[in-house]
Amino acid sequence: MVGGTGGRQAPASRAWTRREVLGAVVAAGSLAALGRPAELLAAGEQDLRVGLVVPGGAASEAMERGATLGAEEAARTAGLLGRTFELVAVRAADREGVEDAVRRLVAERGVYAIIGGADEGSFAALSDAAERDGVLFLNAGCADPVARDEHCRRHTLHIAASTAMYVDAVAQWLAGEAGLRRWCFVSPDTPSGNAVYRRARRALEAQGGEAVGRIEVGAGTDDFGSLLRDIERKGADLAFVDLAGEERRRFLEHYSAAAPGFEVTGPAGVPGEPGDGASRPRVGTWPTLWHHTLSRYGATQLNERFRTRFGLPMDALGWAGWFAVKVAWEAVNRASTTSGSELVRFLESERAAFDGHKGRPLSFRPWDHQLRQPVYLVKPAAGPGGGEWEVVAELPRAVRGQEATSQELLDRLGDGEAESRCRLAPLS
Amino acid sequence: MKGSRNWRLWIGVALAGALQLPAGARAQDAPLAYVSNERSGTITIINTATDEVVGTIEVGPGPRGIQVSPDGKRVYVALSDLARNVETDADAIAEIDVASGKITRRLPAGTDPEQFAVSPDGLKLFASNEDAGTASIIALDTEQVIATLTVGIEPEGVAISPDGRWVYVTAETSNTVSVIDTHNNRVAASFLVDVRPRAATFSPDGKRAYVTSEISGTVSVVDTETHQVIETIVLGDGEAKPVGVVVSPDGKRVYVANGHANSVSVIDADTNRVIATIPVGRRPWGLAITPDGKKLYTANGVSNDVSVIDTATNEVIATVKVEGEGPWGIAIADPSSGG
Repeated sequence: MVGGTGGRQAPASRAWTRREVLGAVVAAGSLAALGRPAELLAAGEQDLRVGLVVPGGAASEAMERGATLGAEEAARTAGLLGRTFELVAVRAADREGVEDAVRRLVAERGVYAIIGGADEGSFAALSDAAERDGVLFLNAGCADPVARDEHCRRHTLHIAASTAMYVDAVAQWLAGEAGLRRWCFVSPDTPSGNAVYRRARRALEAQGGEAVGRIEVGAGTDDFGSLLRDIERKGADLAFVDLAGEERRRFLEHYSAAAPGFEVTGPAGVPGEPGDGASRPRVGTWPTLWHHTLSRYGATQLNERFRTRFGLPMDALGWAGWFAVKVAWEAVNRASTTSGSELVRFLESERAAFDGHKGRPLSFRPWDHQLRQPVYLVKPAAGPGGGEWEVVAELPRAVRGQEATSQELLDRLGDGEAESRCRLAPLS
Repeated sequence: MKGSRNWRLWIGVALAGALQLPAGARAQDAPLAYVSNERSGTITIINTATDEVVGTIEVGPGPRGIQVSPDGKRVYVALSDLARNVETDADAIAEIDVASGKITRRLPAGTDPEQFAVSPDGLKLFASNEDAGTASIIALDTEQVIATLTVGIEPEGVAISPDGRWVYVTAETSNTVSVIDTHNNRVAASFLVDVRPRAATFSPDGKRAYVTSEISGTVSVVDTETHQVIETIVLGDGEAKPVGVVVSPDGKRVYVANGHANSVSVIDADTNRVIATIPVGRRPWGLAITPDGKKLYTANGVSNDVSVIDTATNEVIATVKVEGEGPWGIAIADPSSGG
């Protein structure tokens, strides 16, 4: 259990076990409050609840830490405005459990938004359940392109960046700026692996680069030495490695030991962060939503609040969990409703812009519900031992001489409306 | 305490009065503009009659918010270091005697003071403590913190109504304004504004307040009787990054520093419409206007200069290079105002 304080068991035919209900954060309104949004919300909507549904494990805990901080901050603000705000965190691992959790959170706890998506399975189940129950679902973890295309849902919005955003970021920086334009792709022959390969190749070619080969890696591959030599033989100056878990860890260990003459990157995830399994070697350049060394635009303060609360640096999943709660809280304030469909309409509108301590207004693309946001690239810090990671770039970069609004600039990452495969059904 | 030895050295230098004023500069009657330079730990003094730098004061690390006492005799500047959430020797509000140009005392102000306001009677000072999420009320006679109030998350801007009754404290993360009732030193109300509110100011008649929101690119107009937002003004198609805000002495114009947009917006206070956008130096943050309302000064944090705007023509008529780095705040002291 990571969560906050004040958790209450859900009254139900089968009560949630203590292990299932991870915790809740509550604040009681205590101060006089004035202001338009508070008055427009119905009396019963002064007590606001959002749910966090996670399968368990390191990624879930990372997301929950962020969501807990977000909920504690929202609860404090709610107290200033004479309201309460509560996060109810529930553990559910399989589809049936997720669907049951969402149903009960909505019916029994009055939850108006669900946060989750720590893995592809729970993302898919949450997306379906949220659509069924007409409740807002904020995906804070899943980037998988296939899962997202299959669950392009009106009530699902993505805080987590898409794979397309990550590959655009690394292509714009490593091919466009650093001049590494001969890429060899290393990925599994799976629907997701193939989708990432196609999208990354397109991003590379948009920067004038060339794919010099693709090596398909299946589960259980162990001859990474030969694989590295194969990449060198192809004349690659960069390996784009779309592997996960044990395969990625072993690839990076071999890469670190062999120190070949090409760089390495991939679609997402800083090695060693929650959600990356056991991948620890500090090599390569990786895209991430957040880093604990960011300092501008109030990032120092946010990182400090997180570290003070948990004694840990804020990672990408922590940021996404924190920001998802912030969006859920602010959306209700500004849309003056807890209706799922009305919140979706608000979040699709031009009025919905949020501050994620990234220096730009963050908003959702109406065509695929993806949050527009900068992506950071990190690599091992220079110096003895190459111990820590450091941020080396923020993407997209403004192009000198090209005027662009923040929205236009951020739309340089990820799929535009024409290329997106997401076709959202109309709201009922 | 992190870095406290270095801060003590700074303080020693500052208290010794490391002021570099050319002979005769202080004797002039023209209002003086005081510019806090965050990165160089200095204050630049500009003569508003000639728009020339007439002095530099070393004050110590991180000078940001800067205000003038109602009688015009003292300038206060918020100082803070990089030790977050910890009150160190460097966290203070320094008081500068305008006549001598020397720091006369350092007031406690909680952790990481950034912006503050001085009450019209000159007896109290209200400061935001960004990391602690509080506002401190300091009695200027006893130098004691007489109240510490919980406000929104990441409090930033502080403004006090002309009659001294209400203090508005903005909070960047919670998008709130907390209203402090100075009769009982309590938070009387809180209300929401647009995203990432930075600064606030009151109109001279006290009936309106203006709150800038950096991420939304807007200014919220507040009815100070009800403490409610009555209108939201969009600046530069939402692409402005408004921070500092001042109202002209006659109350007819509101000036907003647009930060990353490198401009100042001019708002007609009767219609709440933007009537001009003036390009200035890079990253204007703080603003100050002369007592006669004829000149507006912007502290430009990246270009290390101050733009001087003729408010009759809305044009930049001078650019003054500061002898320091990171101009942040600016305040104008009129030696003739309090005599």
